Amino acid sequence: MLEADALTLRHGPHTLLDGASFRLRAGGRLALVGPSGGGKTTLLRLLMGFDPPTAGALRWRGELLSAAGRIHVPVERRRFGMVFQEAALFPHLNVVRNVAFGLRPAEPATRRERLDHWIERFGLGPLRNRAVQSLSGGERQRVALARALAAEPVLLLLDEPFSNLDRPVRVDLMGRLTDAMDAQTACILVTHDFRDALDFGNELMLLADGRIQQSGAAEGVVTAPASDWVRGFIASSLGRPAGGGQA
Amino acid sequence: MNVSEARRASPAPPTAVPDITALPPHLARRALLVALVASVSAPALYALGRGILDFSLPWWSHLWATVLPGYLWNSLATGLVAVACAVVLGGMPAWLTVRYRFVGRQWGIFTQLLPLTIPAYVAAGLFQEAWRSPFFESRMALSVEIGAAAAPLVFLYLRVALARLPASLFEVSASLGCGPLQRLGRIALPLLGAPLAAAACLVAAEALGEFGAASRVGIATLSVGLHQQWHGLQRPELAHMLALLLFVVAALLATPLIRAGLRYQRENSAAEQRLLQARPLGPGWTVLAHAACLLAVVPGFVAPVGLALHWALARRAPADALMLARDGGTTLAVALACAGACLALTVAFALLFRADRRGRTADRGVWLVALNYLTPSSVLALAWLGGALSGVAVIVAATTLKLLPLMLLPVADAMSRLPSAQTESARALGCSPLQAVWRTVLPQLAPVLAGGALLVFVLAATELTLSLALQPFGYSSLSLRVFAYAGLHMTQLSSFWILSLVLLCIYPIWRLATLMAPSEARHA
Repeated sequence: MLEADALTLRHGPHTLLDGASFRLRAGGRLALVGPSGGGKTTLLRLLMGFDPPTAGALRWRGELLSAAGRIHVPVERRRFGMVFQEAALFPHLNVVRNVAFGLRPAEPATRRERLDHWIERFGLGPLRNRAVQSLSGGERQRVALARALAAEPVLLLLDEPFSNLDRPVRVDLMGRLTDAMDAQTACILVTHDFRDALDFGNELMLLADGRIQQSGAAEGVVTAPASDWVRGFIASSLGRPAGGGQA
Repeated sequence: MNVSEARRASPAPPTAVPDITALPPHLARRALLVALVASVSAPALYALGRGILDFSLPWWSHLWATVLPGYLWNSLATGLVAVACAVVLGGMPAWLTVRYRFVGRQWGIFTQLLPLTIPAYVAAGLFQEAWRSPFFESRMALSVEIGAAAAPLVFLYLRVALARLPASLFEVSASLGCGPLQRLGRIALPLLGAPLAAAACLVAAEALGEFGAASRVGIATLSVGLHQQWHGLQRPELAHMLALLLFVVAALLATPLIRAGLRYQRENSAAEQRLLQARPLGPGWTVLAHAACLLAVVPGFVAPVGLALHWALARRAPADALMLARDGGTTLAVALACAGACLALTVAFALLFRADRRGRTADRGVWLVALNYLTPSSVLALAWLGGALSGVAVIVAATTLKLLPLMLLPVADAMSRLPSAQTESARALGCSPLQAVWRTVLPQLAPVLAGGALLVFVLAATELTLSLALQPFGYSSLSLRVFAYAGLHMTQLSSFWILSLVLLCIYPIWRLATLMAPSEARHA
C-alpha cells in the first residue's frame, strides 16, 4: 500500500505541490490527470525519490520512504519502475540490452528466460539487436515499458508515456501494458488525455495548481464532480457536460 | 491581393543579406569543400609524396639502427604519461564544475583555462632555470609539462560532454536498481567513453607534436628528431621520412578520434532533453572543490607564472622595452588574423553547407579537418614546400589551418543539433537559403563561434613550432623570443615576455570562461 501524507514541494516562493494525500493499494490503477504545470510530474518525482518533499511523508507498506526534506530510502532500493515521456532509452545499448538492464540477479538461464518473455510480450523480437536511435516513437516506448516491467517493480509510474503517439499506437500499448502487468503491481499513469485516464484506471485523481482537486473511483469523479473547476475540466476534456453522464 | 503580390508589395526584411557573390551556392560550396579537403590533404600528400620519393632502405636501416627506437620510445612514453596527467588535471575539475553548484564556481572554470597561456615550452624553460635538477631534464617532467598544458583542452571537451548527459538516463537506471557507483560505471562512463577517447587522442597528438618543450628538456622525440634532421643536420630526406612516420601516427590517432566524435553525435542526436542538474555543495565541500581546482593548475599556471613574476619583479624592467612592444604587437596581429580567418571560414561553412540540405558526406567529411590539428606542426611546416615558403602570411595561413578544427568541429556539431524545421520555417516565410541560415542558424551559433574564435586567438598567440619553421628573416614574436632566451639559458630575461603573453591572453580566456558559465550564472 502506498501512503502519501500531505506531500508538499516548494522551490523558493513557488509551491509546486501542496499537501497531496492519497492511498494506493497493491494492484491499484490510478490515473493522474490535470492541466500542464499542475504538479503531476512533480508528484511522480517525489514518489520515485528523485526529490525530497519539503513537507509531508511517503510510505510504502508502512516503511518510511521520504519525509520533510529527507529521502530515507534511495531510488534504487524502492523497486518503483518509471517510464518517461521521452522513453529515456540508453543510447549506447541496443534493444535487448536495454530491456535486460534492470533484470534481477538470477541464474543465467532464468535471466534469459525472463528477458525472452518480456521481449516477446511487447513484440520486440524482430527489433532485438537494433540500435535504439533507429526506433520509432511507439517502438521506443515498447522498449521502455518492457525494460521497466522486466525489473519486476512493485509500483509502476508512467509519466505521459503515450502523449507523443497517435491513438491506435496508444491503444495498442495500453493493451499490452494492461495484459503484461502483474495483478499485485500498482500503477500510476500521468496523462493529460482524459479518455486514456478513463480507459486505464479504476481510480482517478485530478491535480491542478499543485493541489488535488478531486480523487476517487473514476465513475464517481465523472458523475459527481466536487467543484465547478472539476466539472469544467471534465467537460472540456470529454467534450460533453460532466455530472450525471456515463464515464 | 494574392501571396505573390503581397510579397512583392512588402518591403524587404531589414536584416536581409545580399547573396554573397555571383557564384551559385552549390559552386561556392564545392569550392569551399575542395579548399578544406586540400588543406587537410596538403600535409598528407606532401609527407606521403616526399617520404616515398626520398625513401631509402639504407637510410631507414640507419635510422632504425641509431636514433629511431629512441625517438619512438620517448614519444610513446611521454604521450602515455601526458594523457594520464591531462585527463586527471582536466577531467576532475570538469566533473566538479558541472556536477556541483558552489560559490565561486565561475572562478573555478576560469582558473582551469589559465594554463592555456603557458605552453609546455615556457614551463619547461622556467622550471629548468629555477631548479637546476635532473628531474626537470627527465621524460617524466616533460610529460607533466605537456599534460598540464593540454589539461584545459580536456577540461573544455569533458565539460561539454558532462553537461550534455541527460538526467533521465540516470534517473531511470536508479529506478532499475543501480546505486551511485553502478550509475557511474554502467551509464556515465560508457556515455563518456567517446569524449574521453577523443580527449586522450587530442593530448597524445599534442605530445607527439610538441617540439619546444622536448628540445628544451633534451628528450629526443620524433618531432625533435625531425627538426634536428631538417634544420640541424641538413638532411631533408631523413626529415621527410620522419615526417611520413609522424603523419602515419597522427592519422592513427585521428581515426579513433573521428570515430568517437561521429559515435558521440549519433548517440546524442535526440532533441534537447532534461539535463543533469548541478547539486549544491556545502561550505566545507566548497573549499575542497576550490582546492582541487587550484591544485590542477599549479604545474600548468601557478608555478610558472609565479616564477616569471618573481624574476620580473627582481629585474623591474625588460631588457629592451621596444623589442617587447614590437614582439607583443606582432603576436597580437597574428593571433587576431588567425582568429578572424578561422571565423570567416567557419561562417562560410555554416552558410554554404546549411543553406542546402546538408548531405551525410559533408557531415562526416568535415571531421577529416581534425587531421589538421592532430598532425604535428613540424610536419605541417614541412608541407609548405619544405619551408621554401615563409613569411608572416604563411605563418598566419599555416596556423589558421592548424587551429581551424577547434572552431569548425564544435560549430558543425552544434549545427547538427539544430532542427532543420527552423530554416524550413524561415524559407516558408520568404527567406532565401542563405538568408534563412543567416537569420536563424548563425544567431544560435554565436556563442560557439565566439568561443572558438577566443580559443584560436589564445593558441595562435602561444604557437611556436610553425612560427619557428616559417618565420621570415627579422620576424619575432613573444613565443619565439621566449624560446630563444630559454635556448641561451636566459629564461629570467624572458620573464617580461612570458608575462606579456599571459596578459595578452587573459581577457580572451576570461570571455571564454564566461561563455562556458552555467546559464543560471550568465543570467544572474
